[in-house]
Amino acid sequence: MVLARSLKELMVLLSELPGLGERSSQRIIFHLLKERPEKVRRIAELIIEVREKLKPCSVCGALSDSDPCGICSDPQRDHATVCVVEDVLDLLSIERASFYKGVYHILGGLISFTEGKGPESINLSGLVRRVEKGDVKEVILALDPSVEGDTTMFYIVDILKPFKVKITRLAFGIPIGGNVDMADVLTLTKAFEGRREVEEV
Amino acid sequence: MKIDKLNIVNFRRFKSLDLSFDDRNLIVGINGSGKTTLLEAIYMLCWGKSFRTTKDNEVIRWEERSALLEGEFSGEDIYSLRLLLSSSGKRITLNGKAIARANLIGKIPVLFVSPEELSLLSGPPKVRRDFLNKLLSQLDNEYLTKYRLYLKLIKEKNSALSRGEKIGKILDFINERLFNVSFYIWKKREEVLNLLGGEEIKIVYKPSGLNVDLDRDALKRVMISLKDKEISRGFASFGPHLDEFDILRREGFSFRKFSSRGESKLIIWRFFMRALSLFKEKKPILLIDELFAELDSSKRSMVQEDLNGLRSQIFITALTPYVELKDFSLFEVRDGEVRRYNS
Repeated sequence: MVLARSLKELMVLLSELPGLGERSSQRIIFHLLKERPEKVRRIAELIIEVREKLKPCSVCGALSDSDPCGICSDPQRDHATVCVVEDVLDLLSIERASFYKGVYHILGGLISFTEGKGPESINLSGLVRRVEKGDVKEVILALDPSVEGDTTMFYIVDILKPFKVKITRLAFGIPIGGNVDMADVLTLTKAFEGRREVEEV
Repeated sequence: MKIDKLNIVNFRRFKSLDLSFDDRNLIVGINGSGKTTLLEAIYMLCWGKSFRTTKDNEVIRWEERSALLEGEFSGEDIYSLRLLLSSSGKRITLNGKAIARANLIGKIPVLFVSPEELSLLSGPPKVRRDFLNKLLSQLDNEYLTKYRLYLKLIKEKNSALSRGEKIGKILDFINERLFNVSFYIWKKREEVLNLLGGEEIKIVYKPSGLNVDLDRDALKRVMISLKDKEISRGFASFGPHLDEFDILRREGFSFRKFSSRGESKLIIWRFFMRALSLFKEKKPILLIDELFAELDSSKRSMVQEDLNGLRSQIFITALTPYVELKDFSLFEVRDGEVRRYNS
């Protein structure tokens, strides 16, 4: 069977998306072909809308349809606490947990020389500008505990040194619901280093 | 550990094989019959990679799409291990669960001895570093984790250096972490090399290729003193990836001169015997390729005596069934088939 050119092209383009292979993109397309036309149209419209209308927030860098974004313009939030994350996905998972009341700063990546990304490639100047103003009391670094995350963390600590701001990082250790015997050596070492006294119940 | 059963499908010249092994196994066959390929299959199951090639798919039989290795192991643990190679990559399954190669290593330690190992005496430093890494990774899972972190950091450092801009501060951050990992690797290597030396051989260890003691402060000073040079050259000039160690005669001379192939082979054999003795918990499977060729009968009996004292499962390949190995279960490889003789 010879596939229609448009169908073929769509398959190729979709399969280039992260998390999708040839098979899964085929499944999506054939699902869409059976779906109500209005719904398919809405999906297509929304894809174009998010791509064209969303702009990075001038304060934190998160993609938003308003500037400043919803979080940065929310008076209920604690604007003296800034949580630095790699990307919007990290922001979303912290927001999902809904315990954090501060604001964010999105770097848009990590320093990785191996991938050709130096400090200039991420949103650091925006962070310095926010801290410079003097309203920020604490910067929480919520970066991946990886080679790239650590380099970025040390770099941020260094460039924020001139300002009197508290800098903290997330703890690491055994995940809740995880097993001590399943943890790898590095995690265990870090978990021991970060151990704390048992609080009284 | 010990491999009891091996199932091979489309692996190099073998279409399909179902074999069971004993503690002592001798594999005979003419040159090119596939004796070494059998060892390769066992090695690949235990180590997750071949000793012959870095391209996994090279082992897939001509005009086939995938190769499969399955092994039943017993001993300190019981494992059922499966390694599937296809165009979509390598899949390792241990007791029915998919695992990463890093988690396989050390589960079933394996040592491979062949005439190629003579390059440990005469080859470039990389040969010896690779040997040490294989040994330590199987002895100590922490070493493997740290070594992988080291490789990542050194790659990051080299990429940073190759940018050639002002990276002084960032280089410090990377160096700080690199040093801690490096020092761990140096300590571990030194520890093992001390145990590998013996009455016949002397091992001289040069961390980062330098004649220095393994002293934290001294090495740190070296690292700092090399910083400017590294920036101007654009690549890392310090670290375990530049380690050297020489295997010398007890008196401190090189083996390269004044020794016959037979003598060198015996030295390497003894070196591997010491490596084997480092494994306290799990005994490695010992794969010996063509060791007996070029050894005269007196050296063969020396090796035989060593073999008798081992608790490891042993596989030996040879052109002919040597009389010294008469207690071994005999397998003959011919035309892509393996025949087992009952003694």
